[in-house]
Amino acid sequence: MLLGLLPACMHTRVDETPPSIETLKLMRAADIPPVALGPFTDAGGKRPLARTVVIRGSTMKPPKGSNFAEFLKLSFESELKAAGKLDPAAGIVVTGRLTESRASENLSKGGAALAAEISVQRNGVPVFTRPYRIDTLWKSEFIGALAIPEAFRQYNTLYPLLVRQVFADPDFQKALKQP
Amino acid sequence: MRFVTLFRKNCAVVLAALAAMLLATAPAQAAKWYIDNALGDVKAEEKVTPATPAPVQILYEFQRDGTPHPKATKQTKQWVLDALKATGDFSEIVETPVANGAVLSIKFNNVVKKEDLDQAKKDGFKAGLGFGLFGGVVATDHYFVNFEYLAANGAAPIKTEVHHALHMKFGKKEVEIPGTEVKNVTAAVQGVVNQAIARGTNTIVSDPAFPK
Repeated sequence: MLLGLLPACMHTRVDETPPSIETLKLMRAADIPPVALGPFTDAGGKRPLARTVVIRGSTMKPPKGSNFAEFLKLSFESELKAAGKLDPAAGIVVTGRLTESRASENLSKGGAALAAEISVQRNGVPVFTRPYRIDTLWKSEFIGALAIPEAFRQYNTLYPLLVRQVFADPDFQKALKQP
Repeated sequence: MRFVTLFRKNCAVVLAALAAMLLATAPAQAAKWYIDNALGDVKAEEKVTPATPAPVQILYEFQRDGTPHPKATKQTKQWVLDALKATGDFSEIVETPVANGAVLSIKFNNVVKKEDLDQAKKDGFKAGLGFGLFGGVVATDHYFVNFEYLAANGAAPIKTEVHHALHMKFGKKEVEIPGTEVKNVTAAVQGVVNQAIARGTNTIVSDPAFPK
């Protein structure tokens, strides 16, 4: 019976996050120009700091053939596409460097954080760089069948929220729009 | 095993997890699923259809307690798109920007009331110990479905919220469920989606500010 309450390990991949109306409205209100996306890298380089999220022996990995830094780029892409603001040929290029990625829980509470340094280049010239960070705390369940997917969900959810935080920053908006 | 599959495939996350727990302890008893009766279908006399349906960009998100649930979003999105198409309120439903700038955001928020969950877990454990032959559990999943329509870039939003629920009953609990029984959790969630989408979009297109 206890095995039913504490299920065997689950292994899953992070899920693509849908674009939101909040981020779309932010982009529309700021009237940001179309932008291209450049490389998004892991600050750990050859020893990536974001490989796998592990909760009670269960793992969440990035999409197949990708890493969490590229997944962050995918989150930017999704929001920009929905707002009609993605143009691979644009002279304004947004790049990213993933600096923190973690999730943990201790049977009663959990926490997750995601941070990245986001940069803007205009015609190849760097014009803006700023660190962004988002975190979350939650009450965790004793039952693994509830706690493990919840921890993964909480971590997964940070990606679109980090993107929204970036686009809500007036200085970032200004960097995209300045001539 | 069946419920493990259900857990992966359906959005009634808490109920399915609870069902998985119950099945581990009491495989002889099956859970019964009910669509709440309060909302119901949009009646023919209530139905409003735009004279000239226009294209719309859909932004859909499933949420749990107000925060995104990417896995459930992926699992339920096609049902939402199908339900939206069935309303006939839009000429085209796409996920990319449309020429008129119209956007419809739908957020399917699954709210789990803590007291409901605690009681369900308690009852579920007891029912499980008795292989479902003694006692039982009734759990309710609440859905608050938020609709926001932007007719064009810069247009004032038209908003509405629809409340729906599904119920799960397991074991010998003698209680009247205010819902219509369906064959499984998939049918239950799909039924909730269909009714909520039909009701929400009907309210949106009925709004005087909706483009005629």
